[in-house]
Amino acid sequence: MSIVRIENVTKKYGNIVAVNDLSLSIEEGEIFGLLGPNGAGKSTLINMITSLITIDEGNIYIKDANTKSNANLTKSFTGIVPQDIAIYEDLTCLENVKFFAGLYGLRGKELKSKAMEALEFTGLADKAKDFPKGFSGGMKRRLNIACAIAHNPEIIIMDEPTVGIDPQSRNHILQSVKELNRRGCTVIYTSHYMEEVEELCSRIAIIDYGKVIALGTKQELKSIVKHKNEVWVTVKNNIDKIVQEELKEIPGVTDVEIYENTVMVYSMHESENLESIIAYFTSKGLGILQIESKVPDLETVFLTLTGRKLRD
Amino acid sequence: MNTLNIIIKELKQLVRDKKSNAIMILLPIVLIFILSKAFSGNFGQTLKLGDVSVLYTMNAEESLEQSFEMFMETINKELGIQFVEASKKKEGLKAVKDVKYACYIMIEENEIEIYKNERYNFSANLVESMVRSFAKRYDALNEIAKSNPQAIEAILSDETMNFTEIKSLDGKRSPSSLDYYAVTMLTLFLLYSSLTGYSSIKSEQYLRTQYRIFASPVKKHEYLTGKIIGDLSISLLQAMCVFIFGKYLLNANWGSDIPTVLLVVLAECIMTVSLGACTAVLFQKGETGIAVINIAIPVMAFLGGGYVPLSQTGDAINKLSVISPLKWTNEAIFKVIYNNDYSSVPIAIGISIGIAAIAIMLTAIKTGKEKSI
Ligand SMILES: Nc1ncnc2c1ncn2[C@@H]1O[C@H](COP(=O)(O)OP(=O)(O)O)[C@@H](O)[C@H]1O
Ligand SMILES: [Mg+2]
Repeated sequence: MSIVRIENVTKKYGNIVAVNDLSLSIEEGEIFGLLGPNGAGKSTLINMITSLITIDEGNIYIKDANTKSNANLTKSFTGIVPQDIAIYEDLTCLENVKFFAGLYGLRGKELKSKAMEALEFTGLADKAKDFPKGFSGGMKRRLNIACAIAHNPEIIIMDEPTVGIDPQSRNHILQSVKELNRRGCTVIYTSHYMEEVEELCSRIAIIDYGKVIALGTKQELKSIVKHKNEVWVTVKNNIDKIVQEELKEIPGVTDVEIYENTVMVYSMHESENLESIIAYFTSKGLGILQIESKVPDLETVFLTLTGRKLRD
Repeated sequence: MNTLNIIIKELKQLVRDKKSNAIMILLPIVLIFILSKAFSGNFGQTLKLGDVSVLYTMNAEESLEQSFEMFMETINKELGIQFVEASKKKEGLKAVKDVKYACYIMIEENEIEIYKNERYNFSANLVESMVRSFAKRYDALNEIAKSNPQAIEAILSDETMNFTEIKSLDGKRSPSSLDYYAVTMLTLFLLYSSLTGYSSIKSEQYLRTQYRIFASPVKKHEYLTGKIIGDLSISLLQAMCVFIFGKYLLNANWGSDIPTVLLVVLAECIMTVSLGACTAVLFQKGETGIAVINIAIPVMAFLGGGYVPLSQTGDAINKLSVISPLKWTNEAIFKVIYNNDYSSVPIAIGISIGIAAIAIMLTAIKTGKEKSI
C-alpha cells in the first residue's frame, strides 16, 4: 500500500520551478531515497509533504489524507529531520526531545520514557542532561534525529541528515536509519551523497530540476548504464593535447568526456581495451596521475542521464 | 495543552538567560539610583505649594460665589495657595498658556471650569482635584437646601474638614526625583521587553526550530499565544523586581492604589511584547528589526517623559509627546498616585491594548508564511 502519494505536484518560486509536475508513490515499510544535486527540489518537495509550504498544483496524500485539507492529521503521521540542525542550545538534550515530542501530544511519564528511548537510540543517553552548546556536528545531528523520532511517527522524513559530519557519526546515523526501518518505520531519505542512498534505500528517485528523471531499485537504475565500462584518467597537465576523436577510434570506446583534468572514457561492456587507452595517453607524453576503472554507480547513472555530476 | 508546552519551554529559556535578566533588573535599579540623586534639585522645591498661584474670574450666582469665596479662603489658609482674580476670561487663558499661573478657574453662573497647561503640572492637578471635591460638596448642599434648609448650617461648618483631608495627603502631592524615576525607569525598561518578544520569535527562525514546530500539528495561534504569554510573564517578573526594589527598599511613592497602577503597567507590557513579536515577523532581516526597535525606544521614552519630566521640556516636545504610548502610561500612573485622578487610566490602557491588538493581528497574519520557514 502506498503510504505517501504525490500526484502531479508543482511548486514555483517566481521564475524558478522548484518542483515540476512531479508524481511519486512511497510504499509502506520502505526506505525511499530522493537523490539529486543541490537545488534539485528535494527540500521543496519535503516541505510540501509536511505542509510547511503550500502546493501550487497537484496533491499529496499521506495514508489517504490530503495534506492540504487535513494538514494537522497528516503532520501527526510524520517526523521530520530538517536539513538544518534545529535544536535549542539553551535546553538540555532531554528537554529538547521532550519539547518536540510534546508537540505531538505525548505527556507525562510516557513523554519522558519515549524521549529517553530516542536519546538511547541515537547514542546520546549519557548526554541527556547536557546542553548541546559544545557538541560536535555529529552529536548535534544525532540530537536533531532524536527530536524527530521520539513520538514514534509512522513516517520519518530525513532531509540530508549527514551533511558536514565525521565518518563515524555518519555511520551511526546510517545504521540507525536501517534500525528504524526494521522497527516498521517508512523512511524518506534525501541526499546528494549517492553512496548513502545506494547503501540504504530500497527504491530511489533521481531528481533534477524538480523532475523525477529515474526511478527504481538501485539494480534497476544501474541497468540503465550496464552496457558501460568507465575509465577515468587524471593527467598532470596539457589536457588540451587530447583529441576526443582520436580516443573514440580505439576499439570499444563509445564516448569521451573531459572534466577539469580528468578524462572519462566510456567503452562497451567487456571491451578489454584498457591497455590501448593507457598507450594513447603515454604516446601523447601526458603525465598520468591516476587511473580509475569505475564500476557503474548512481553517479554514473546521473551523469549519463543529465551530462552533469551530482556534486560540482 | 500545546500552548502550555510552549509557555513552559519559553520560560525555561528566558529564566536561563541570566545576562538579559541581569540587565533588565539591575540597570533600571541603578538608573533610578543615579538619576534620582543627580536630578534631586529639579524636583520637589519647584513645586512648593506656597508659590502656587491660581487665576480666576467670578461671575457666579450668589450662593456659589459665597461658597467659593469660603473655599478659596480655606485653601489659602491651609495650603498657602494664592488666588488672584482676573478681569476677563481671555486674560486667564493667556496666563495659563504662558505658565504664569498653575491654572485658571472660571466660575460662571452655576458652573466651574478649570483650564490648565497640558503638562505634568502637579500643582494644577492638585487644585483641580480640590475644586472637584468642592463642586461635589456644593452640589450636595444645593440638593439638601432644597429639601431641608435647616441642615445647611451643620454641613457648612463641616466643610473645612473636607479640605484639610486633602491637605493631609499633601506631603506626597508632588514627586521627588526618586518617586519620579522609580516610576519612569520601570515603564521605560518595559519598552525593552519588546526585545524579548522580538528575539523569542527571531531565534526560532534563526535556529530553524520554527520549522520543526510548524511541521508538527501545533496550531499557529497556540504557538503565538504560548510565546507571548511566556515573554509577558518574564517581563512582568523583571518589572516586579524593579517595582519591589523601588517601593520597599528605596521607599519611592507608588501611591495607595497599587492594583490600578500595576494594571496600567501590565497593559504596557502586553503592548511592548506584542510589538516586539510583530517587528520580528515584519522585518526579514534581523538587523533591520533590531535597528527599528533601538531607534524607536529612546524616542518614545524621551517623548514619554522617561528621562526628563515633560514639565521641564519645551512646548513643541509636549505637543509631539502625544504620539508616545509611554506618555499616556506615565501620565495615568502619576495622576493616580498624586491626584487620585483616574481619568487617564482608561486612555492609557486603551492605547496599550489597542496597539497590542494590532501588533498581534499583524504577527498572526505574517507568521508561518513561506518566507519565514
Ligand atoms: N523560498 C524560496 N524562494 C525562492 N527560491 C527557492 C526557495 N526555496 C527553494 N528555492 C529554489 O528552488 C530550487 C529547489 O531548492 P531546494 O528544494 O532547496 O533544493 P534541494 O533541497 O534539492 O537542494 C532551488 O533553485 C532554490 O533556489
Ligand atoms: Mg535541500
